[in-house]
Amino acid sequence: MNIIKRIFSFGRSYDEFELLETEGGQPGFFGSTGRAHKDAAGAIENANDTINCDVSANEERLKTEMHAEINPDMVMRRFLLCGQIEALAVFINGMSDQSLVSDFILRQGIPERELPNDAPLVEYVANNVFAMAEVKQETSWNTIKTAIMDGCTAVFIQGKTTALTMDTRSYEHRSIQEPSNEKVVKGSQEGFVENLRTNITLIRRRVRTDDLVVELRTYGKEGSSRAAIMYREGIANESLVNEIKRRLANVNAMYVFNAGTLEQLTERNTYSVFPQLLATERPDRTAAMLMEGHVAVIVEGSPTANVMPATLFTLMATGEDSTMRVVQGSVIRMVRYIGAAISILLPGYFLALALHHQSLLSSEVLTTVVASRKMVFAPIGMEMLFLLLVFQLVREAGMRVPGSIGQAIGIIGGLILGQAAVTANLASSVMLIIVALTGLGNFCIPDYSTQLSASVLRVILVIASWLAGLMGLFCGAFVIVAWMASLKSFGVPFLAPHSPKANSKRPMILRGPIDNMSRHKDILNTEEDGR
Amino acid sequence: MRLNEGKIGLQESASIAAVAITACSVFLLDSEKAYSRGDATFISLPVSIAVSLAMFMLMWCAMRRTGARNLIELFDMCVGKAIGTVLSIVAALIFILYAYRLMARFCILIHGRVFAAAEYESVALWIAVPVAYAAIKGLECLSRLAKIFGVLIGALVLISLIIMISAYDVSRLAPFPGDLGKLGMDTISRSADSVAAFLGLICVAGALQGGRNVKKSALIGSGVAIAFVFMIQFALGATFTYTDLSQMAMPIYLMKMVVMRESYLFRLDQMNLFFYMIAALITAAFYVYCAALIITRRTFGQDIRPAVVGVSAFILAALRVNHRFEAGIIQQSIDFLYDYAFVAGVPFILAAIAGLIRFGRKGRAYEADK
Repeated sequence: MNIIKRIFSFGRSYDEFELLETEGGQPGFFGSTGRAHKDAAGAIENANDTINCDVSANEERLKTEMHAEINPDMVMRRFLLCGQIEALAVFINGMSDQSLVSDFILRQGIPERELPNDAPLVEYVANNVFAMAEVKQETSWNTIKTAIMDGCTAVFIQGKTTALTMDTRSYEHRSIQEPSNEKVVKGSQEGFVENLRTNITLIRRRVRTDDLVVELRTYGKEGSSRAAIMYREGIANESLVNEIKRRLANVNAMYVFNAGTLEQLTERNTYSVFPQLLATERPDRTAAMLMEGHVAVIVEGSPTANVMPATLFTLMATGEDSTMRVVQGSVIRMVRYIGAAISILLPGYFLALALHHQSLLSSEVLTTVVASRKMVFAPIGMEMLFLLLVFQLVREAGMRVPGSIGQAIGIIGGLILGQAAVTANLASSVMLIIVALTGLGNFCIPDYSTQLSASVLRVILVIASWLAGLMGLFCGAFVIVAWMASLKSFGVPFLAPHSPKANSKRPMILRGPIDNMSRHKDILNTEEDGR
Repeated sequence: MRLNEGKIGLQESASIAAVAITACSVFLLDSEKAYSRGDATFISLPVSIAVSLAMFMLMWCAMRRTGARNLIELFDMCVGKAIGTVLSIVAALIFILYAYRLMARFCILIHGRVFAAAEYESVALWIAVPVAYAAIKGLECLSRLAKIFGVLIGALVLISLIIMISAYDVSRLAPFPGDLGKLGMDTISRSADSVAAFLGLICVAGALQGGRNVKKSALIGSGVAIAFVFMIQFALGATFTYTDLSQMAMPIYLMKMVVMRESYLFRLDQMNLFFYMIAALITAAFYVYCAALIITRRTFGQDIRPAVVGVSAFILAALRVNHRFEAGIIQQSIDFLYDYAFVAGVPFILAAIAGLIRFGRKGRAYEADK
């Protein structure tokens, strides 16, 4: 229904964000969508957002709101602060380190000591009693609740409407490992993990500039999801950063636990086959792109960073490209592009030639094709689609099962199943070679999402070629390139810097010398370019 | 506003100009008439592009003097709104006519030479849908397509011409220059083929980031087109005699097949045909977009899509009607319009002169150049 509305909503203002051409000022942080609703909701929330000065009332409220009686891991510890004042420490067992709470909060807070009469009590306690590195004074009830759920410990003090939150987070998480989907021979072997703090640290270790900014944001309907927006202040385009914040603020999903979901919620062209941002597991790649002026969004609980904007050439590059010598890098990149072209075009092209344009094939090739298909009963188009489906089945099965079994499935699928299909006259050997080449070409595409895009495009072109031969293939390719030419990733044309041309000296298919990396990419319209 | 103009750079605008001019000049040539008394098309076609470039320069000067940002504003400022409306309707009709001619040419060729057993209508549909789609996507998309495919097709043409080099024989150009009167007439009449591309550039001038870019795009685009048209027409003239050429529907397509018949490695004429088809699709989509832009602006519309769909549907209907009543009154009318399309250039020239006189030497500079 929405698609029909979009098609027929003539005269509707065009709200595409244009980074390069028509920046229409800075969008508000919360954007315009749903602002009235949010304002109204905010007014109600504000009334309940204060802390009661009575510790017992706060305890009761927490018990009710966080279902402490049912939740066994919710710990509420009453104690006498400095042996004089009633206080309540609240934390979640498992999310917080109990020894930290015992040693540096309770053991420090319980012993009797003199309290000053003139100095503010909360500030004195924060500075002199608890032996924690980070002690925050909070007055917002919701912020304190979020902090507790995040693994912090909150301490409420009798007679005070300000509580203290301390970072006692210590939960089990996966250690830093090699990225599973972006392996490299040369270069760093570190990959992102599910822990947001670790991921931020991995980037900070590489980008040691004072202008690197990490903004932590909660988003989503329940506000339970957290993400870090990372960019270089004064380098990354301000409009781009604001646009990303605006889109993040407009996310209204109930929950968003991974970067892939957030990607879909923040991109413009929902039905686009191509990804509009780069999802990478590699901190070194993210750091390099941040240095160039990109913006990265890392979601809590997701081992990938969303880097934006992304163009076709970004998606076709790998983290290893810059570690290779110029000639080697250029040759490998060219092979990658040829692989991608084979992956998308070869099945459709072969089908068009074999079915509609036999005159374009030499008699030797034609004889081979005809001989191999002699006993195959399915129409050639059906056979091609069947084999492509089998290829996807093998691939999908190989990915979903544990490592060693996955490899076995690949071998069984590739060798035994293929051989069996030819013997059973379900498929011809020539067609099998075409599909195998297509599969190899597909694996040359470095980005997983782009690999899937290529798979979809391949099927579209196969059907078009089946229906109309080379005319179908060319018309299909024309429409696909037209789509790519009109696509934009956060305001940057998808085919930049080729079309439109940018001033960047950096070649995109061939790799240039490292000297060419001395300037930021001008397609990003960085603040430095404007100066 | 959803006119999908955006902003395009010099490379993109020059590419679309070059692709459009070359496609119209080479693909729309009526072999029977052009080669009836000798082959001097390698002279007449490049010169005809230069003639229409001169007309464009006149209009561009008028644009600078008047401060108009696009074709409609130019007409309105030069000759008033009433006559301006009539002239913009004529311009829209020229765009539609050339989009139709290109699509019809390839529909007939593909139907006749590749898919003879298929329905003509289905071939027309395969061509019309991508044209409409690209036109809906707008100028940015079209210009980028022109740049991407233009380079590819240009390289392909050059390779084809180089491969054929052993078949060239300059003596086949005889009788050169043939009938001089006809040569002159051809030069003038075929100038209409590139007028549409230049009018298109003026039509979308607002998206070209300044008046200087409009002029540069036209100069670079026409320069490239002149070079390619000359090379192609010269190669054709050196490959075939004029009597042979006059019987070929689109000689550039047939050249490779006829010359290198025995070599299966180079039996790629059909591949070439579809690459040429891509150039025709881009050009036709550009003209459909320009026609739709004029209609939308004249009707104070906010969205280009209804006009694009309307124009595309009209062209598709015309393709079908033309096929059904081949050599009938409709076909003759279209041929007549096409043959005398150059006459439509006269009121545009007069309008530009009127604008130049009206605004004098102290006219407003082109806004974007300030």
